[in-house]
Amino acid sequence: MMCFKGPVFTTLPSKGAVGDALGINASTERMYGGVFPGMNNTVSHVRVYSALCWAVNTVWVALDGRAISATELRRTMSRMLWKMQLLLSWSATVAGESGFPGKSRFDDAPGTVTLTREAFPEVATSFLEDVWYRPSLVGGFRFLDAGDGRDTGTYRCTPAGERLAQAYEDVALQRLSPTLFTWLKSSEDVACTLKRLEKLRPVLSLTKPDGAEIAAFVKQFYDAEPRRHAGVLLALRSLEALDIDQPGSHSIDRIRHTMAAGMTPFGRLVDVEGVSKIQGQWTVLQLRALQRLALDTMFSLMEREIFRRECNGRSRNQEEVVGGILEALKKEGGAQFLSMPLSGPLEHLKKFQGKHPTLQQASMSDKKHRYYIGDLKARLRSLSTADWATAQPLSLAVQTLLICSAEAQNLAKNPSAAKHLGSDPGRCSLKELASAVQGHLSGTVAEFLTDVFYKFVIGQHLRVAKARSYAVSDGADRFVFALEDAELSRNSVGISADFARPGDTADTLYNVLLLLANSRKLEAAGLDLTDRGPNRVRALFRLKRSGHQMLKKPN
Amino acid sequence: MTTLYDIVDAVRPTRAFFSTYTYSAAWFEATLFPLLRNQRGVECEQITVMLERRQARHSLDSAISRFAGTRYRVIAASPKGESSSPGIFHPKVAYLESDEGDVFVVSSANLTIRGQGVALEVVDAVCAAQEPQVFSQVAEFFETLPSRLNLLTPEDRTVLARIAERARAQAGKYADQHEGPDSTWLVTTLTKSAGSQLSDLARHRLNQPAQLTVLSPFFDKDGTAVSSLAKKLGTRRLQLGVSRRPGRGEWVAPFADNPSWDTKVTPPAPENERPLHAKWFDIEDASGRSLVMTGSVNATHQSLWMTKNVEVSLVRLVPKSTVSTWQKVTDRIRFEPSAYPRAEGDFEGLQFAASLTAGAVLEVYFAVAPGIGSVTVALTQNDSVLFRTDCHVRRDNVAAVKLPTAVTEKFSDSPLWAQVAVGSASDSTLVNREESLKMRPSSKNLSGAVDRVNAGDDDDDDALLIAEAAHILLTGRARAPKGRRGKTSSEKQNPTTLQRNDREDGSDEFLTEDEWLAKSQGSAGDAGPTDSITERALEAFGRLLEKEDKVIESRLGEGDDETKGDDVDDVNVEDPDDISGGRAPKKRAPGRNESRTKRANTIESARLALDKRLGRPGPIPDAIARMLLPLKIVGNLSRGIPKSLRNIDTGVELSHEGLTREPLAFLTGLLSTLAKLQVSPGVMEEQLPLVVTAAATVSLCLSRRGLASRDTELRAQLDTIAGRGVTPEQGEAYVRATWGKGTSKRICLFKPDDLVLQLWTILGADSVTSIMDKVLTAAYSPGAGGAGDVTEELAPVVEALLRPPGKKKLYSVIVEDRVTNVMGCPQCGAAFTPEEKSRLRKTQIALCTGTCHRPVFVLTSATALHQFLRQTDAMTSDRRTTKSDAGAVA
Repeated sequence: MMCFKGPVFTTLPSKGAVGDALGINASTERMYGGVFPGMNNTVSHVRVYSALCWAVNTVWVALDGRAISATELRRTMSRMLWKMQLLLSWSATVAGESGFPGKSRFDDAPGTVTLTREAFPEVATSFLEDVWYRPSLVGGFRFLDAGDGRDTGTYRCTPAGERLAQAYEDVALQRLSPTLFTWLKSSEDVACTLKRLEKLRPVLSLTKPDGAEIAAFVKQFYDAEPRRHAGVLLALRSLEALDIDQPGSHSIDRIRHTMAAGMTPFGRLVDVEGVSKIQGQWTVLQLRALQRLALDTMFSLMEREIFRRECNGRSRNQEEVVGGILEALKKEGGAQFLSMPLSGPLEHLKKFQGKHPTLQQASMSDKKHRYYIGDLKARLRSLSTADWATAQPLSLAVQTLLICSAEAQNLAKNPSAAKHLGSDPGRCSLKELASAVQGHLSGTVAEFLTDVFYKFVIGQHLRVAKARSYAVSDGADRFVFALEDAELSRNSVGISADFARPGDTADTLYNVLLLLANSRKLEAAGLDLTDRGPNRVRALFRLKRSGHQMLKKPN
Repeated sequence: MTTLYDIVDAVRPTRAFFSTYTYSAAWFEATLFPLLRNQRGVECEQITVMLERRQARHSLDSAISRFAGTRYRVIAASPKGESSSPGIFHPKVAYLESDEGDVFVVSSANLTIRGQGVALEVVDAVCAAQEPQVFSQVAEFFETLPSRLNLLTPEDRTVLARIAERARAQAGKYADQHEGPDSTWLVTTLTKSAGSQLSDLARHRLNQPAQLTVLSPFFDKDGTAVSSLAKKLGTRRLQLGVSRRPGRGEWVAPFADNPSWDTKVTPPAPENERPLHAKWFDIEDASGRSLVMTGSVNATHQSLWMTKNVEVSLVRLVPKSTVSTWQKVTDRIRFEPSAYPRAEGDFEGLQFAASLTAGAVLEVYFAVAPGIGSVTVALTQNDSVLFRTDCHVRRDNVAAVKLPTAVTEKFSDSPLWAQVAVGSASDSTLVNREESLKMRPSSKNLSGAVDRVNAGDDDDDDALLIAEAAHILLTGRARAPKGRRGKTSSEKQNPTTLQRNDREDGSDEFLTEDEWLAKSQGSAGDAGPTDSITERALEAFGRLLEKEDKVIESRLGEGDDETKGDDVDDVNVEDPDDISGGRAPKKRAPGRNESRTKRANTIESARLALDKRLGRPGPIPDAIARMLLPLKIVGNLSRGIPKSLRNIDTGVELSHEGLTREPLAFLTGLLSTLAKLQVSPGVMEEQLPLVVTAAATVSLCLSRRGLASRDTELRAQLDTIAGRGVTPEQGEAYVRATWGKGTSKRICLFKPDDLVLQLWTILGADSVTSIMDKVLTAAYSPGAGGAGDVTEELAPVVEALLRPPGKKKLYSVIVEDRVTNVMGCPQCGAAFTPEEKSRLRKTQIALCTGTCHRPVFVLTSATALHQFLRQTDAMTSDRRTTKSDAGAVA
């Protein structure tokens, strides 16, 4: 029983994670999952799939139908899988490859390694984790079936996994000596020297999977799941269209927005026959991601303004805080813009769009690429500390929201896209944004912005943070700021100025292209898997001949 | 244990009362409310939040709060007093009822994000089991409080009176455990100022007060309240607490510079980095003992020396002052007077409270007579006006209006607000929904649960509630724990155990089938009440069935010993599809995702109840059949097409060896079950598109799993169900329409074109009559063309036909309403064996195994006119209860 002997000062309770303060990320992630189902944003190498499938299969083959207790099976499989995972990580570290987990285990360039989990107690990360390959190995691409209940921790190859394992075994038999192959198959022999590792490199290299492994992988990756097939096909067709216009490599952002607009920057339409549904979803996804950046920018502005007012003791009344944010734009010459009717900038966008069905196509056709989504995203992502002290973030955010609203109205006419516009209701879905804009058509830009701050920044954050805390029910709150007693205040102590930054949703298109490049369907350049930069990926891709072959396959 | 959350977590109260000045519904509903709702098995059955009336308006933003007025009571309070200079309701206390002794918490922290998570606050608590004498004072506080407040509803008064009664009982219960002199006192400002009570205590309990230390976020500008206290106590030294300004780090004293206050102190770091909101008075005597007062009392004149505010603090006599550990501040201090912020709002405006009482009566209570006989009352929810009316104000200053059912049906789970206009003045207040508040917090509004399931935003509690509603409709009683029979509808009186009357007007009841049908009388006859909550709940139950893969998935796992166990269902029925032998779903071991398991078990239990209801003899009323048939189909497809086989079923992956067969019976048994049901032709015709599409789905799954697709059997069953032949064109239209509607997510997993192709295969299979013709041709005209192959299964029938009939007819032809009505041989009266019953269901042919050994062919209305080979030598019997001209036997 609790007992107090006297009064005590309260201590600060733990705070929950507050990333994605407006709660938009989940829906965009779901949309990514709709276009490229079964994969996350960490997978990039075919060999990981084949080697791990082979490791699992090897355990079962070794059993040869022999009865074995669940505990023993779990132990054997765990040892075999750890052996293979550590070999892959070690080999990739030695070879200077990138984009894999557990590199720090081998920082001191060991000469001999015991290939067990226990040998590296301080590093737990592995390929078979939920943030790495496990989701796609098991549920996503269905190479492995995971045991549950008593069999948790064990796996069994699906037919697709068996094909992949067989391809790996063929390569291993061909490239390794019998002694080495026997060593590799053993779950008990786990001591490895650097010399042995070098001999194993042909079957461990992440960058050079064998053709048979690739064939088995691509069959499942490309052919097995209709939506993923359509998503990948749309990416390949976009790349093909770009290649026709401008032979050579193209940036991932260019590919992404060509897929979204259905048109290259050179005006060539992408063939969307058979993939129009996915293309509609992808277009909405890109618009939603842009809208998230704009709303996150407004959220960050709100947090900064509250902090400024806390420090200088000025009123933190909701109206005055929002007024303070708008004031910055007024001071920098935006007074006229803020006081103009909201219909003004929308009419301008309509005029710009002309006969194009969407703003995205119009911006693609525009010589200066005005209102190009990729450009807006890049600018919102890369706001510097100095920028935040100016009116630029707000100016960009409002421009972006108006573009999103106008484009949402365009997409409402496309049945494939329209059904996704309302997704994420209550969290400023594109449909709700368009509706809010329509509701303010006779008002000013400032009135519209004020309403967005109230409803979709302050209100939405409080609702999202409350719902998250309620769902977890751990006593930790997830509020970045509070609106209490008619005042806004930051939910933190002291002078920490670690403000939220506009957030990007994990980009699985990049990983699709990486897998295709690893499968020698694309040629990739400028890749740096270890350092994608804080905001965006810089990589170039070009369609190879075998990639063109994929386009010729029937749907 | 230094936060309110920790204390509540430790006490796990059965009832909880909180008071606060400012309030954040966002914080409360994100942290304390879920804790109270599920305290490791101890559910808090009543939660009350009492807050300052003027704060209530903007802290209960309807866009943020989800549970105010429905799951926890909100009492908006303002002290009586002169309107020109009113006091405020300021206590920050909690009364937590517990079987191990109640706990009373006194704090400086409001129920806000800032109060509970940022600011430096102070908290103290007393337990009845250890300091029972304080609970007499607590009782006195709650007894006296109503007389100091402007306005309370009768229900609010009841809550406060009950706490007073409880506190007094606790004081008595634990009185024997109190030893020695009192050392803790409750100080309230209901009748006497806090300053005078504190100085009285100091005079009696301390030996020459020597030093006064005061820490408070608010002082009078010139500090007179504190100076007066020091003077009254006769202390020589005065220490004043200071805190840091957020962001800048400079020390701030919340009063004007006063050289006579020589010492400045601050609580130990790092706590002093936080914005100060704690109120702490410490009087130390010459012997080192001290009286410490903490709680809501500030160092302002109004708070410390007046009774205008309602304040609550706790005073303790401690052997050694703790302020000796505080740091002396010698740095430069910024003196910045901090006057107490004046509460926003119109003190003289309308003051009223509202509650929605039993029978959907909205009652508005006015603090003073509004001056005119009629006021305008509007009821709003989510910023939408649901109802507006002019309302007479009675002599007791209450305006009451009965809400029409059309209004209450629009209620969602969100808070309700009453807007009242008197002439040009208007204001609004939250409405406490008394019937909802009687429920435990976890007991949810069925309508809200349905809405959330439809929106895909449901949680386990929603699923449980809907499955419970379905169970009651299907069985007439609630689901009971293992080994106990559920309560029948007439036995269900206690609202805390079942919560049948979930809505104020009773429209959200959990109804049994009879009750629901009775309710339909006078509305739409047998069609049932349209769009009723019962119907909506069953539709939502269908969605839950589609989502629930867990039970079947767990069965597909191998030998999970931990999951063995019986369902807690009381129904104990066998699945009429005879697929699982009535085996109950596995129950997960306690502690392992219990909530999910409970959800799965409850849904499974309701699914079994559905099968039991459909298996009940006799015709099914049309209104019930319309609701249950889609559920049956959706439920079986859901169970028969588990996630683990989905890639195979949808053709993504090829079938392989070792494929588990367990869920097969849910598919193969579906149509045979439907064929057995006594459903009116009209309703069956309505459901035919879904039935036909289900048949195609079943066949496609069987085919893709590498199994016989049973097309002949399915064709026969479809003919029986339809009571006519379904043409391929009709079938295709049915499939496309059903797929387009999205009635079943499982069906939508398949491409419509694939389903149509599969249906063509089914409908292209031999009809029942053509199979019969083949059998007869094989026996009596083997050389004739078109005899075709007779399956091995029917070879004994051919052999029987070839045997001399003796005195019997060659075979029998029975025309029946349903194939399964035929139980035995019409010639010799022998009952069919189970094997023959099975053959009959599949082919509508049976072989007598009694004395005559003659075959029996069964026709239904759809095929009644069919003429067989040598039928003149057969025995024909039309047993149909209703015969159309077209269907009459020639």
